[in-house]
Amino acid sequence: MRFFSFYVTAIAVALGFILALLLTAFLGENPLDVAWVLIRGSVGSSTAFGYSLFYATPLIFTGLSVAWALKAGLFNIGAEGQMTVGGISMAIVGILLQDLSAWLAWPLALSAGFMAGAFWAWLVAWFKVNRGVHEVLGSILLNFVSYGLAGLFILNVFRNTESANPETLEIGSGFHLSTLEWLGGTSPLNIAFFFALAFAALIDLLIRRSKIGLHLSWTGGSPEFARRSGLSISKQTIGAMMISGGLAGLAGASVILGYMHKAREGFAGGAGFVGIAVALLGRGNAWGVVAAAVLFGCLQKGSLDLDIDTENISRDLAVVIQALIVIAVAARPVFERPIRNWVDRRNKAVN
Amino acid sequence: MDLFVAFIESALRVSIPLMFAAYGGLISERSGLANVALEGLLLMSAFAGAATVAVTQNPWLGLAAGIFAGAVGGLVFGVAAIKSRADHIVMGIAFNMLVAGLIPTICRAWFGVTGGTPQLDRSVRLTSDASFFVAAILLGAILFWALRATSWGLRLKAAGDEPSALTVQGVSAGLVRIQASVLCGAVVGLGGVNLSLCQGSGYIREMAGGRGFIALAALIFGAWKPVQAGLACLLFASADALQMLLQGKSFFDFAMPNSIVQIVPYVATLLLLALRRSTMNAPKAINRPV
Amino acid sequence: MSQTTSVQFDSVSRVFPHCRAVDNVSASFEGGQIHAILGENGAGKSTLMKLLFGLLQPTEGQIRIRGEVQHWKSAGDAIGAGLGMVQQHFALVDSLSVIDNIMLGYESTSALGVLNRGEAIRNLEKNRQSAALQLDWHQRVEELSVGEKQKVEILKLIARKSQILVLDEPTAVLSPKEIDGLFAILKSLRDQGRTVFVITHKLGEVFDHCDTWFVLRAGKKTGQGSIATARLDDIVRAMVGTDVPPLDSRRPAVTGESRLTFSNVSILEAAHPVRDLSFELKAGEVLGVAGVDGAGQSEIVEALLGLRSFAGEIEVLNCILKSSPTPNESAVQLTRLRELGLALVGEDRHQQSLWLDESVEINAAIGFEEQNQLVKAGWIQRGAWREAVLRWLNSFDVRFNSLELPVARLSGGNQQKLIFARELLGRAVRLLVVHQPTRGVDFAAIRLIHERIIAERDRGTAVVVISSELDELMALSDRILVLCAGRATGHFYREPTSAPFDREKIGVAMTDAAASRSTQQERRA
Repeated sequence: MRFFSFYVTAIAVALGFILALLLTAFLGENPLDVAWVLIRGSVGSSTAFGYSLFYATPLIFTGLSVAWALKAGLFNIGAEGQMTVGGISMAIVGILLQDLSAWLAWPLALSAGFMAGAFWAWLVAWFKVNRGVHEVLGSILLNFVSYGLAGLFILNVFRNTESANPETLEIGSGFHLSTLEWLGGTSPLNIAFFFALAFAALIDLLIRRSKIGLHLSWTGGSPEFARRSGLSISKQTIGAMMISGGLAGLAGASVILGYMHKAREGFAGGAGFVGIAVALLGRGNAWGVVAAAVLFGCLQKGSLDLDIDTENISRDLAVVIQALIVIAVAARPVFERPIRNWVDRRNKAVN
Repeated sequence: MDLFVAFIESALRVSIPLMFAAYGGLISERSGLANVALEGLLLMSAFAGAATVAVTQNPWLGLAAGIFAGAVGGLVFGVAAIKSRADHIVMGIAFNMLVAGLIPTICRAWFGVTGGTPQLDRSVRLTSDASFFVAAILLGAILFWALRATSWGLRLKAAGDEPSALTVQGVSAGLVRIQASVLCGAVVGLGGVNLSLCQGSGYIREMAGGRGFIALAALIFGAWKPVQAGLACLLFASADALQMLLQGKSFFDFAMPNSIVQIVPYVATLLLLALRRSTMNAPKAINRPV
Repeated sequence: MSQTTSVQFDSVSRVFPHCRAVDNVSASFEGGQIHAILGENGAGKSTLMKLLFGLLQPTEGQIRIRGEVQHWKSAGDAIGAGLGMVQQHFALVDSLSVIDNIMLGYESTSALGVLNRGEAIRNLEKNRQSAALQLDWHQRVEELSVGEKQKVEILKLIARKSQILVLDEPTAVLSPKEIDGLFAILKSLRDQGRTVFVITHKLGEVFDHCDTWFVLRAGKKTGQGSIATARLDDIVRAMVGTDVPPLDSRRPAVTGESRLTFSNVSILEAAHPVRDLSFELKAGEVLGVAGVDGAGQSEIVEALLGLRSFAGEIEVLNCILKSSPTPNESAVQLTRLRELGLALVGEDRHQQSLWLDESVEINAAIGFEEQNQLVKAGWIQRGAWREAVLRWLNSFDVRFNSLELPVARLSGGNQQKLIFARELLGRAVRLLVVHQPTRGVDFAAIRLIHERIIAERDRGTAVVVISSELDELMALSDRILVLCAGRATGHFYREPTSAPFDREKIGVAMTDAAASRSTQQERRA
């Protein structure tokens, strides 16, 4: 069963790629060249692969975030906003406490990011539970609000007036996450990647083995049954959203603490939205999310070279591929049925 | 006084794309197709309109192209969501992503830049805000009437509330929804064209700026009814107009940072939505497969 | 009355991936008669009728209508050929008016697709039978009673000039009086030469109202004949395969302390309000709650779970419930009640008592993992869980291929047995609330469930059984409380005779005219 499900997902991914490459042919490129650029750009060297994993790191967090909420039947499309407020909070802590040593700085910054993200998602949950505002609308509107708030801190409160770019002051050196040269060459890949893997392991364990995870999926899978068994749906909703938001809040760690060492406008860079695709592709399984995030990280890195190495297409092709993959995954039933019938028929023929 | 007139004027102007998007969304949602793809449809038709004018220098062709692109987008979204029996919201978000990736990709292939279409000269734009506004109001009135009095409206409402009532009569509720989605796209297309050919001078990246979602909020706030949804658009548009008015102003020697002013419409939308709990009026079979 | 063959099945089979729902059925049905299609749940009755109606295509064989082989691809073709079907769940749009519902799909329009409602109404009023049904054409369907909604469905068939009518379980939601009314309409349609198929499992109404009977068992035809010459035993044997011995005689109830008390309880903010209800349930007895669907049963269950606000006083297992709890308070309260020994079997199994996509293993214990020590310090004990679940499922004779199978793949009977196993085993149950214990469940499972309910009573558990099947209640209950339109309209005690309850009197109480009229008026107001 599970193996079969993996096959179907793999077919969906392949379909997404094929359709997108066909599109490049229409736009006057050789699809095979495009595919080669994508592969070489993402895994062609240890630095390239380091960049891919660097891009994958926030996607693991936002993917886990969306997947966790999805387990409870909630569509958190606000991971981008939660990541933004989380990242800003880490930056603020880092700017204010310049002299803190790493042992205190790291946990403090991560907690700040988690809590800020959790708070931002709590707002969404509060509006849903108490005022009936659908979480999709609540979270998308709060995304826009979070950009404004981030702008306030980056452009006004903590602006680095000596820089020509719109960015904040530097965070204290204790907050800098160590980079991983042995794995990622000269890329900014840093230890946040392993934090992300650790969180994936934790989430995986919680979902499969803990009462919290069981009750979370129960609420999403059969809400009326859960309610009649003494679960408080509003409490579950609030809890699920806060953890989801917290995970998204951590997504900024890799970029802000590990690479920029400050906050720039738009530092989230759409990772919250790609996280939705990652969660849908990972199918609610924490390690599936990691795999999907690495795939999309590679795609993002590989597509950067398209700007230079091709005439007619740009890095935006990555978004097209991601969207097509999500559509193919969502439309699984369409091609799942014929494949299942074919497998059944073949099994029968063999017997 | 001048300030007030300017405020009203800009509120009316801002309400135009919102109304088209909300009416389009209304058609789609009343048929049971949950529509978070309004944002993508707006962008798609705004781009198609501006790109066509950039190539042909003919604003009327641009208008037609915008409406046509919206309809095609609606068809793609509708078929994908209905035929796959997938969650409409997932499909809507994927559709928005697809549009967000496709436009700059095509833009680069055609115009050499990813940011948008070339600037369009005033002479090749549709400059009459008033006509768009009148069209939007007329559309609301027609929708109000058609939902009550025509067989199209009857089938639309049935598909949204109880699709099985259509199926047992040999009418495909899925087809009713797909048709609704095409019509929705065409209507939203008018809003998109208004953005790129009337209020703006060409397409610029992400120019809808969340209007698709605010229109969806207005539609919900307006309890899925045309007149109320239209009024809700005016209300939400005034919040946006207020935001424009406040930009760069200072109060009691305190300069309001623009980033804070910019969030006014979103906060207002959220709070208004929370104030009026209208979700119980949602079509009963929304986001359920047929 | 025409006596020509109207519908003929020639060796019809319909194969689904995992079963033969209809297996080589050949039968012919005369025109101008009312045919009863009988069989247990899952016997293939609905599939057979869907084949007739063109909603499904036969895998083998063919169906002939008035001698012609049919090649329909959709319901529209069937309607065009003069067939009409009323589904068990009405296909009505609640938010639309009666006339809009009747017109839907076959609208008469003028230019621009404008609806011509006036013409449609004139056509209906010209027809003697549709005029006799006496409905307000402009009323919204959501304001109608169940019986009136059914009339709207029949009006749709009359308006389409259907000659062959199929009704799927039309009487399941009707009171005895409404059932008589329905058959009066069907008989007048028959007398005009129309052919009527009624899918049912209630034998009483078959003998009272139908002309022929036809039985399916496990997809195969097991009997057919005329009602005039039919014997009850033959029909039952055809349905079940064997004779069903009556349930063992039971020992009288030994009652103990009070476990559930309603004192002047009213539940007003509800789809089916309840007014001024009082009763007491003691340990060791079964209280049956009778009434047609929608008499307030669901509201009573939700109130005693503490999930609804009410006026008056409810005491469950010596806890006095909060009368208007917040969602969080009711969750805390319900958890407490479950710890004290409350067990619940919900009315709508798929929504309320199962997590359909999840495995048999999870479903068989979820919700009681804490009480049964299947979680420790927040972590699931996989071994203990699996071992307990296997024991419980075996003791309730639940048949399953694998613990990993999604519970949705089990049959209705096995699902229901699994729910009983989960709720009753592994802990001390003191109050069992069962809503529709055997809906959509096969005979063998019904028997086991009934035995276990009586066994619980004999162990000293207080039991509430809510059912719309009067026979079931009369078999199980020590007392029967009758509800009609949210009020208690009768209270009957078991007599130590061969007929422990007076069916007639209970039937009258179920349709208490005064009670139902007053609610109708309130609803209109």
